[in-house]
Amino acid sequence: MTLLDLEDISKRYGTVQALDGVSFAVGAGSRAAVVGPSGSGKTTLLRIIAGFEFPDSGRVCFDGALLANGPAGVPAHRRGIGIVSQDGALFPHLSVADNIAFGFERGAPDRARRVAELLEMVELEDAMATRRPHQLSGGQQQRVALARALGRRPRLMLLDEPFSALDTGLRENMRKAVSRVLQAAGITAILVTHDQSEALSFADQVAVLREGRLVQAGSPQTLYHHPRDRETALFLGDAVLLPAFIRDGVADCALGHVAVEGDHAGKAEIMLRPEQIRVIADSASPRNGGRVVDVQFGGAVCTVAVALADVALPPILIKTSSVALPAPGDLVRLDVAGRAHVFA
Amino acid sequence: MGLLQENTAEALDTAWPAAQRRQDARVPHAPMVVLAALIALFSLVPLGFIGWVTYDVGWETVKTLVFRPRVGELVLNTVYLELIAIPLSIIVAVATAFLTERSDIPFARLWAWLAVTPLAVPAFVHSYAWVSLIPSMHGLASGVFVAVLAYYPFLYLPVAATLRRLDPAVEDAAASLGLAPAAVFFRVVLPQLRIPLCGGSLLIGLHLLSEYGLFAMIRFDTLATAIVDQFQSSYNSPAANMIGGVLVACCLFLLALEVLLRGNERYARVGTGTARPADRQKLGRFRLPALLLPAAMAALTLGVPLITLGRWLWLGGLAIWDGAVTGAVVQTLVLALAGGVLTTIAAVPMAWLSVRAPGRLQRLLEACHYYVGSLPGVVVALALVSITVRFLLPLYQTFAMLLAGYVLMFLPRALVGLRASIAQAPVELERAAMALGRTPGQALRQVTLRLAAPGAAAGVALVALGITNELTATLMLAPNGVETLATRFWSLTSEIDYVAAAPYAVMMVALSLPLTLLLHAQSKRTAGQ
Repeated sequence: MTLLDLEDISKRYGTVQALDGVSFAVGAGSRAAVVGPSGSGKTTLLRIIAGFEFPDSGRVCFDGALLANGPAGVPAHRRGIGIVSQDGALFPHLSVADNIAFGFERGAPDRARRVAELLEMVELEDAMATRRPHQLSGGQQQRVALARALGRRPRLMLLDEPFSALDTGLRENMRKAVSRVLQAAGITAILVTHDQSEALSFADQVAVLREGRLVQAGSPQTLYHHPRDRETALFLGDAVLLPAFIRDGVADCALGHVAVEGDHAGKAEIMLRPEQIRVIADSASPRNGGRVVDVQFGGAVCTVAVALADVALPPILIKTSSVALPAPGDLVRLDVAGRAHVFA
Repeated sequence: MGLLQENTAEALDTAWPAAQRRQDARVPHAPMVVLAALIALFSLVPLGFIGWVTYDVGWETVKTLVFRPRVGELVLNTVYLELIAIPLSIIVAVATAFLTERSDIPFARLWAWLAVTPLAVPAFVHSYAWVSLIPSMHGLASGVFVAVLAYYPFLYLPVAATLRRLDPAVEDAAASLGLAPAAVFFRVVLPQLRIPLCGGSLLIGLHLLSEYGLFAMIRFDTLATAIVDQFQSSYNSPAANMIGGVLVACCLFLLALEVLLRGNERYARVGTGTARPADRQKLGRFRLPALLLPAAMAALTLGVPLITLGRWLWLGGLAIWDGAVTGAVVQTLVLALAGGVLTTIAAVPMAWLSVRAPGRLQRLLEACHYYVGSLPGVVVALALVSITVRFLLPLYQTFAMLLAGYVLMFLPRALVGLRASIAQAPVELERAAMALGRTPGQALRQVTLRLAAPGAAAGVALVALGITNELTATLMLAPNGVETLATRFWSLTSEIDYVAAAPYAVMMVALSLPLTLLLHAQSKRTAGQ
């Protein structure tokens, strides 16, 4: 069942087209991510869903009700959509408990109990309730912001880069915690981020925005392995792009014969994720062989640059484990696992 | 305006916590401590004087002089004035600041400038303008009316600066939690304005306590006007001194109240990174009616002085621009510059100590430097006059005493700018100079003071601005024959010669205007705009 339905949303600021005909649907209980480089319009999209802005044209439908139809619609405070923003946006003049209870209906009788419940839900200690926002760490502020938004029991929670201000270790921790809390409460979530790995690991549906347009939407696996174009492919992760000639499901390219998906024939560009390629020492100079030109030791993951023989292509960079790492100058063979993706 | 600067000083304190400041400068502290302590002792003179007089005349006399109907009436007048004028100023200032900073009102920037410009018009020129327009103006209502017009920019400035800085994400969060726009303003925006509201209100409260010219002109008696009246009938009257004591008590009460109300909160933005600039509230069909407020305030605060001054100038023609005007301009400039330089020099030891050797002693000395700036000029002058008459008669009514009065009244203004710019000159540079063979004194002069020069210049300018518009203490302390723009203006208006007074008022505004606008530009810059 669809909870949120965006239809053909466009928004322009002066001469900048922030959003250009974006349509996107989010199912009830699912977790979606909107990902794109900065300036792609993802925050504008989120602000339109929240009701802080209205689209120039297009419709926002939520739970069967029309929230926005062009520049007219329901204002933010009557939407019942929760939001956790980049640095929490806690009210600096209120204690943690008052922040959490801010959205409760006036004179709620079980206020203290509900605050305690929400604190527990976001895994914060009761002792935090009397603290002030500036006495909390970044991660704690985010948890309070989440608790505050949960206090309204929203059906949809918007997460506006809520982890980007946190340290790398804490970020992953928080992402898992938020995921867990939302799942337990059965709340649909939309995460906006510029971090593609965050989007891929958080969501079961990802939408890629670029220059105000929705480039592609789908499951993380689909997007990663079958991106629509090379920009999307490179945005979502490292990729090896090779020109090829395809016949009968096999591409003839610098790495020899590689199985491809689909029934495309003729000249095309194919994409392989670097983890599909294995570097194997081979001094026999086969067709898919080459010479190691550079090795970067990086601990668990090392990068090997291989210049292919007889092909005028830049060296291919392959991430590999530190076990049996070749040395510069070694002759190697590049084996491909799985199928290559073809850009039609 | 001194306190406005002090708020900045406190902001600096938070920006450079004591632990991070350099504690180990090699320029020896001892001489600086001695100098700063001397200045601090000197700052205590007015308070000490009040205490000593109270003790000297004995409790019985104090009782008969203080607890009498006349003093009760004056205190009540002053209390009413504070209780009505401050809330009104808050309403006007917050509404105007909201319109200019956070709404889509047409010409917002123009209104912002116009809201600050009244500061260039001395308070007593405001009431001169109104009395010329409506000669029957007098009493509490008129006093409140003119006081709000003259002083509301003191609240507008910090409130507008804070409104610009507030993180709009917090207001979005409140909306997503179900608050309508009006509720967002009252439950989220207004509470975050607490510190500028407290600071600005204190500033206005202190001005209401110490202002003489404004209220004397519209015949409204306050503690300050009563002291000057008493003083003019007899120079060292216990009655004036005792009312001075009551006035000082009121000041100290206001200072304490502000500390209490402000609390020890931190309302700064919690998150990291820079805030998105706030959206301007769409006023919709109120967009044009909303123009009424800033336009009316501009008309009342600037239009009326402009029209009345223009009318008097027109009536007077060229004849009123005689040599006396030039003489007063020159005397005012000389006094303002001398006072500015002297005050800034007096502030150097303290400014240096508070940056380089913070600690308990420094905080105590600094408090002495600051409190004296919030005492009414009339009390400072009263103390200096009484002491010179009694113990140092040769100094009575000399330039030295006048300048000493200015130093006491404007010390905080010089201190703030100086402290900020000394903080910009890192101790490492001084050490490098010493490693290159300079003595500590040379290093201080050639490196630190050189780098602190812009702040010192700003301090001189701020003090000079204060002196240019100072009336009460100058009236009481100036040697015979010294006529500043303010005192000359005052004696002419006392003779109801409003036409001849006009050029002096115009010259005061002309001298103050550039500095006032500079101040506004600077406050915008500190807010990061």
